[in-house]
Amino acid sequence: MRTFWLIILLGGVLVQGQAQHIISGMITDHRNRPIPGANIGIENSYDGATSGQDGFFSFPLSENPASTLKDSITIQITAAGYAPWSRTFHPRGDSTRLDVILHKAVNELETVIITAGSFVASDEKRGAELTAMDIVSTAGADGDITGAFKTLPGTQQVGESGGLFVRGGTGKETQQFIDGMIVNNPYFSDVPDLAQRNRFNPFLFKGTVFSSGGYSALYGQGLSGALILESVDLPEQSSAFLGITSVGADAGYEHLSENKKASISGTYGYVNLQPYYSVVPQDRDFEAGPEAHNVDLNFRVKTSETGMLKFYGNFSTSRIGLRDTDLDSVLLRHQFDLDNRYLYTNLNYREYLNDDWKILAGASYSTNDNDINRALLNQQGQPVTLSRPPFDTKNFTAGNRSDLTQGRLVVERFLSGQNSLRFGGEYLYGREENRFRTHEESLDGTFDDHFKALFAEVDVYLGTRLAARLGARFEHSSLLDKSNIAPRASLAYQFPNKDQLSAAYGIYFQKPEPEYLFGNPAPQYARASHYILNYQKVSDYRIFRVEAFYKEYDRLVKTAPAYSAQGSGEARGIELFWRDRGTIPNLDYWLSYSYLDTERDYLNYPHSLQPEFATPHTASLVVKKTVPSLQTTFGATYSFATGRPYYHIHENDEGHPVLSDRGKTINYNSLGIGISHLTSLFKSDFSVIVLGVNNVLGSRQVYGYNYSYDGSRKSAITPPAERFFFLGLFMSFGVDRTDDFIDSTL
Amino acid sequence: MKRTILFSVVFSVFTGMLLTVLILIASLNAVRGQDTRYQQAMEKAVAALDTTQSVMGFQELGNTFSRIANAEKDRWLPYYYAAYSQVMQAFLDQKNKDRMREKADEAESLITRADELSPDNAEIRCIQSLILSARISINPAVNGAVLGPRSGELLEEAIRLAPENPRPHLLLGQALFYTPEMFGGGAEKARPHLKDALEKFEAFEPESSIHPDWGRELAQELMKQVGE
Repeated sequence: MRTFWLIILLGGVLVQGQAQHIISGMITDHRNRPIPGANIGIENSYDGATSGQDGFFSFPLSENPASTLKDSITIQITAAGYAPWSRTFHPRGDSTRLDVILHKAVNELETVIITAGSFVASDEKRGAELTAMDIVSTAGADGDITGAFKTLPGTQQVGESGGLFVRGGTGKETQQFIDGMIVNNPYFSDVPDLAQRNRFNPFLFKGTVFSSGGYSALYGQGLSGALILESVDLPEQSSAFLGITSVGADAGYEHLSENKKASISGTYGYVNLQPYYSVVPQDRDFEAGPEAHNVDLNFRVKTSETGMLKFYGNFSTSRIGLRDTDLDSVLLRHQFDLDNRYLYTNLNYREYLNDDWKILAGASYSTNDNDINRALLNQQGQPVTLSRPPFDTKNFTAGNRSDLTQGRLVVERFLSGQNSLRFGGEYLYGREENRFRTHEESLDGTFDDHFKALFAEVDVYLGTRLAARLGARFEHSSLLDKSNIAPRASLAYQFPNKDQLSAAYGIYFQKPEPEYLFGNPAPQYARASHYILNYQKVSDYRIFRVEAFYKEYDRLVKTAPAYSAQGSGEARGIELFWRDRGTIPNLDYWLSYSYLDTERDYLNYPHSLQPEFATPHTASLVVKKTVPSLQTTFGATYSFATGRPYYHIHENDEGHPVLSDRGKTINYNSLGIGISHLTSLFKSDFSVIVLGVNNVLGSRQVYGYNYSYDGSRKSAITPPAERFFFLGLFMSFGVDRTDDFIDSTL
Repeated sequence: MKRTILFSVVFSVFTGMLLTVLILIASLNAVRGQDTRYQQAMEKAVAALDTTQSVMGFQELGNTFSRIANAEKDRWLPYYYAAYSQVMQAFLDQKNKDRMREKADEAESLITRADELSPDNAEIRCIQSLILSARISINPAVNGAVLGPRSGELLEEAIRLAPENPRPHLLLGQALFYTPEMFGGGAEKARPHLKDALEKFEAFEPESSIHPDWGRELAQELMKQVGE
């Protein structure tokens, strides 16, 4: 009896490991082409095989499933680039034939990207046209964050005023954003006929999107363009930094905590061009400065695996004093003094609530305070007051202060595939204060605006080839007492060879600039409609794109004969961009060309005119060549633009503007070069010596003409000197910044 | 009758015990069988690594490790080797950039799993660093600036975690050897690290027959190229 039981029991055990069941089959794609290298496996088992070049596979099951308690098996098939496949079944008999068709996975790498209208500078984003370092390493850009973008299609070579002049729009019509929030006064305060730099250090940002139109519903109040900056996260390690240049010095320290979860940093910089001007004579008489003190502070905290809290603050003071010949008199001089104080703060937080939800929250406060003093001076430099026009308006002090407080929340919901939904809102409280004093009158004014916006946007991917981004934005301004709704749409289609065709459409609104609010009885949002078509070919080293656009402007501010929102305009053009950073080793270059046909009737224009800041043809060539044996990178940027129009407009007796003279400037040519050499002065540092020269050839550059009051005399607006020389030594201790620098210039 | 009842009670108790013991033995065997099965499967695959040189070969081996990993979801080694096989494919097939990217992505998701199972593991840091190197070679101009320093940091961390492990030294030496002098690389810079690696390979004993033990020949080969 015992033996009987034993036999039964042992028999049961022995049955295991008998007769093998063979699974074989063919793996193909939907067009019946074999897929080699697919992994065919059985769940909770090592059994399986890899499909061969012919897509065929075959393997035995090591256990006979018929004898185990659960007699079904789950077969799983994975192959790179295809969606995983699995099926549970009961193997019967001694073999199973399994022919499987795999479908293309919706994979981010393969899918189309929505690109129309925008250039991306990023190290992380796919399809970026530039890297973050390109921004600082472009010759002639002088390390100005907007400098590199002036070599891209869609922008004008405007040298007398700061900002990006995009496709027939003014510099003020390109709005700047840091981590989603609008930046008021991103450039140093306007000085007559002198382009001002962007206030922000390009090293603070890891990604930049420059949109020359058709941008997302998440952003507003930029009629013609947007510069969207994304700040860096935690640094790689602690470091100290010292820079000494021909125009100033700066020093900073950045500390990364032991656990690498938080960092804090501070930088102080001082710039003064007076010593430089005493060596390199200028055409204009700089009585003071330009001089600036600049302090940057920031902290960043990794609040969780996926959460990040960041603060950034910038405080600066600057001043400049200019003395020019007064155009209306032969003997008098004209004084312009500007003192500026600026504070910018930005606190933002991002976190994934779970796999499906992400939030971005931010708050920002900024204040900008200008004091301007203008006066007529006699030969001895003493102020003189004359009571007849046009001299009666030339002595005054003015000031303006802009405060902006804002809060913003964006919620992102990830849907299946790459589809996603974003929505949110922002609230901006802005205050503008103007002070104006002459010896006989004083005019003060204050404006408050409560500005609210709500927005939503959805990304829809129809397969891997076709994507759409649809959004809308609602805005309300208490100052204008008006609401608007701005629809936005982009479409992108990817051809089988990865070329891409995109289209974008959008309506954009912008409040009038503060200077056109005072005295304006019924200000309105200016409005622009963008239509963009883009074709793009991208490989690992080369990018080619061509973009055509049409824009309509209406409700632009008119200042003459009276304030109104009756201005209008139009712009159309075609642009080309080509970049190659791989064909010749260590050589990187890009070439851009823009054709622009635009007219607008705004401000005091008597009728529709090609604006002074726009020209039909603009082209740039940027080249960077690295010579490893010399540890040196040579860069050159050549820009060309056809001449720009200039006008003399005066008011006739009825107060109507009349065009009394017009002309066109000579063509613009500029060749800038930059040389950077890597070295180590002490053992522990990495140092870069930079030499830059703008307009090496000394080509005559004329940006336009200023007219005397009666129009009888005009004088060319030119750069204050033919060339600008720059020499700098940048040392960094602790962290190896040279890698960044070199790679960027490769 | 009483006897019969008693007998049957005793018998049933006895058979019950026997049954329990047998089941116990069987299940123990099953566990041990599972263990030896794992050991055997891994040994076979790890041994195959030494002779594998082609993309197809690494793909097949990678698939094998992935299947073992899928069945042994709490062991880090199969994930580790699966990731290693993927990143090797990226290095062996540098012409197809899309494919390289795909392989680097696959390797990354596998090594992340390994890292979760075995945190602070120097061997895993080595693979993570290799993956970044693969990403850099996809497009050095674009990826080098950010990923280069990160790749180096992972190796430094590996050395901190396991100072006697030769592989981080080898990879550091290799990375420096292939980095142009201008970016702080070159044979001179690579030599001391390769020397360290070779010394440490002398003393290195893998934890078991299926633990990582690769790189000896590569270190010797690189040392030859660098020149003693």
